[in-house]
Amino acid sequence: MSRTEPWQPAMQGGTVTAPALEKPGALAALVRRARRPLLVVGHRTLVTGGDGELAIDLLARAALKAGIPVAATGDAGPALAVRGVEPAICISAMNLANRLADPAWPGVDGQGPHDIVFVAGLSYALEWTLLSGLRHGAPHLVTVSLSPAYEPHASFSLPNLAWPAWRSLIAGAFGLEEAAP
Amino acid sequence: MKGIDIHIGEIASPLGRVRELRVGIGRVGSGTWDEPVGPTPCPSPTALRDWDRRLLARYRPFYLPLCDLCCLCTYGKCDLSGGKRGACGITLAAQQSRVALLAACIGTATHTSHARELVSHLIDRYGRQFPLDPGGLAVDLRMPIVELVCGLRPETLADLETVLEYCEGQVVHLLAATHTGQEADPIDFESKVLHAGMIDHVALEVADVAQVSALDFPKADPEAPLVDLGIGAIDREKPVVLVVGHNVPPAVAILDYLAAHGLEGAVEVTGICCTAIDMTRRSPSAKIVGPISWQLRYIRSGIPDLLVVDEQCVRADLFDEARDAGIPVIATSAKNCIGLPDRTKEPADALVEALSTGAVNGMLVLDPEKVGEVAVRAAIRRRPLRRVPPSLDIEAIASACGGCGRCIRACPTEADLPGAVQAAGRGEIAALGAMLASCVGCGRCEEVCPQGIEVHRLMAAACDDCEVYAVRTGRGAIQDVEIREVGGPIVLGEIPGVVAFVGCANYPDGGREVAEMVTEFAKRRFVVCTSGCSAMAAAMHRDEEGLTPYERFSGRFEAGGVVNVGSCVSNAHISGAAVKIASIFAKRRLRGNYAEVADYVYNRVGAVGVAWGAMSQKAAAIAAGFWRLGIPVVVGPHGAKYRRMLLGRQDCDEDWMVRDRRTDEEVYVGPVPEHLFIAAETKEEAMALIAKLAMRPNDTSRGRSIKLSHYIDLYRRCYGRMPDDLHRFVRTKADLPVIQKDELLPLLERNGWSERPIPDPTLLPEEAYQ
Ligand code: SF4
Ligand code: SF4
Repeated sequence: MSRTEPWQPAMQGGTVTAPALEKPGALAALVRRARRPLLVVGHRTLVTGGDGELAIDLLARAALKAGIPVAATGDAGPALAVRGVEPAICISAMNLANRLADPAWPGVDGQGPHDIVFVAGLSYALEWTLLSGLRHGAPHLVTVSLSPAYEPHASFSLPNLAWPAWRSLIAGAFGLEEAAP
Repeated sequence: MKGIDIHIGEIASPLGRVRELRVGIGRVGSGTWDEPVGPTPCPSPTALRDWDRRLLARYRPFYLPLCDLCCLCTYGKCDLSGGKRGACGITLAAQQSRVALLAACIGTATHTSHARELVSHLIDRYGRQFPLDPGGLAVDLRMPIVELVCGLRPETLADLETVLEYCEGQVVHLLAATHTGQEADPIDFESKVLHAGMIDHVALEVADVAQVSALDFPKADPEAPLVDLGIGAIDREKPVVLVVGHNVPPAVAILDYLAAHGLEGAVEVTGICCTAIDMTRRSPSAKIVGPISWQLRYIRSGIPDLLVVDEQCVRADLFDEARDAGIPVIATSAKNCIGLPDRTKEPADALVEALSTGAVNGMLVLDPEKVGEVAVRAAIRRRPLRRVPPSLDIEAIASACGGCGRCIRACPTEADLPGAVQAAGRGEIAALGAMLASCVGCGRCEEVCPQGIEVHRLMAAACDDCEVYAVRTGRGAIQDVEIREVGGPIVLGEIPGVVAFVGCANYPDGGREVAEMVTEFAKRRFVVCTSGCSAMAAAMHRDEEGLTPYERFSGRFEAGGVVNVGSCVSNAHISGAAVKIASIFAKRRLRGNYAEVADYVYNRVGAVGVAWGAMSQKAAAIAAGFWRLGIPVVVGPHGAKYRRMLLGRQDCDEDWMVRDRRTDEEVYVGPVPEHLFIAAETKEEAMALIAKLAMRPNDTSRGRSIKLSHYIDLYRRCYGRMPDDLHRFVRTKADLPVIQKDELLPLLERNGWSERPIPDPTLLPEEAYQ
């Protein structure tokens, strides 16, 4: 099973597919490069996890550490808030994507258009279609899928990863203290 | 004597003035009532283009290409990504809208063909002059959609043929527009999608009014009987017939044969999908097994002695599954022949013999009456031969699982199948069995398992779901008197909205979520409608007292009612109710007056469609029919695969200007309704969206305050805080829910809010009003 075939193999994209971010350093470089980043956190971050930890735990810490504003979709908002991350916006994913596709949209804080959008934890089909929409409708944006399921339509995507590997990659990229060596 | 067609513009008779009478040999299609014909009777695909463009300027398509390529002609495949055009010059955006139009055409053609077959069959059986009667004395406005779109008032089955000729012609034109080298502009494609949707609702209304009238279904009856749903409702000792599909004549013939031969109660007649609902409208003794997603599990149970399939949403492998389970099959539709020999002309005795002895696995019989007789007699003879499938050694089978994860990667619900299968391999089967509740029955997990584990079969074996639920069978149309009672409160906003749960069963997390939403909105005193597989899903949930929503809430079209209109084709009664409000409550003329009535519905009737498990092309067409009337539709996450959303931008004030008919000035009305088509990620998000999308510009302050209180409450439940867009929905302080005024006013003021007038809103130019 390839790490860079769509997580649902039937969901083939097009002629161009996302380079996979196999190493924490590659993701960290994107985080550093972003001037106006946004992290979109969906409801599946509340069901993905292992060893008593959830994806949302890690992503909340990542957002705080990197100072990235968060858009909560689905019902991820309250779970983020209890983890110390007050979402900059609570919004349905499609509504947010439609605004992101507008190069003049001033962003979740009104300070100017975003340049890199990190997305994690929508259901696979929803994230897949949303990233397709942004790929075609928002060429000004770089999109990065942080879900543990490879998303061909993103500008960059994590490969298909089991929980320990995903945890290690995120922790390493964002410099969280438990990062694997 | 064919081909004679007399058209009389106007004639005075002792019965009154008759206009636009058309008499032909073989048909009478007429408007015989004294109402002027509006500007667009039987509109062409471009007649309402201006209305569509007004809507689509506000709700612009946000494209979600499912494929970057086009492979519709031999120039291709063409790569349309990155702004590239295809060999024919088409863009990716236009291609998405083109495929959306193809889907809408498929859906509309399917309903139109369904209606045509029904009407032809009913004319054969009951005669051309059989009167249309969808609601007895309770329904004067019998076919609001047909009156609105076609400007016709059909009175007999034969009159419906004229309406169907119009529908068929439009579908051909629309399909032609998808040919290479026709439309290129995405919005023109989208306008045609809306046209297809409008035609779809005409065909739906034709189909349901025809069957309600001729087959004696409940006629606009709020107290239509409660019937049984669930495998547990079936008396397995008896011979069991299963009917799967949507077009009910073969199922009706089975019920009629039983009645005519004193066999009622001797044979269980069970159904899956819309045919199931419609046969319980004919006879409450019929049993609904479940929605479309229950096909595999029920066939594999080995309970049915005979399978009858008609059309639409029937699994393409159902015949193979039935053969493997030792169940003979009768195919009954010219659109679903399953490769079987046509034995329609052979005597019934021969067919019964062939099916009963196992000489054949199946046959095609295109005569519903013959199907009725053959199915009953064959099922009775097959009963002693029923093959009860051996019980599975779940633990042994599951222990072969290597945990490769292919099944979860094929599963649309993203259920943790490997974990559950491996647990079952250790003897803990409960988790696997519990997953059946959210399984959509697609069988894809079985297709990909390298160990050959039939995961869905295993799951069904691990779950002993023998519950019986009560579902109110389809009542059909909404009575005129009900509209009179609720029209005012709905238009004023005092009833916070009409929410219709419609469509298929491709749910992200099981039908339970539909039931929970139905209950939530009924408790909030919305008018809740259901149809099709969603009507079944709504029944599969009990409250603390053990009641299903149909037992708990009334079946009236009223605040807090839960109204099952019926099968897919009954959806026309939901759009029809919105149109009736314009006619009966607001006295708008319907006849051929689409844009004005749609403008009324859009600005004043707080209706929202929810297709939580939308899957099919028919669902796409049904949704489009709601959109053209200005009724927003929320879909579940899989609905994003319809390739585009129709989204408003609440942050762009200029998008929300309307003409105030009182002052003729352009005024801001706020983003109501904010979207026309949107996929929600979770049930909680969908509920907040539904409450928001029920707002309309015309709400009175009292109505708006009620709607806002539901929106705030459901938003807080989902997002854990106050909505950040309240200032866009509050026009005056009186709009604020009284008990929250002190809390909300500072929030509004922080957003620079100031009071604004409540207009008499319209999207149309002045000259558009009659
Ligand atoms: S049959 Fe059920 S469990 Fe299997 S892939 Fe389909 S939805 Fe998932
Ligand atoms: S595909 Fe088969 S072997 Fe692989 S995890 Fe699923 S059940 Fe186990």
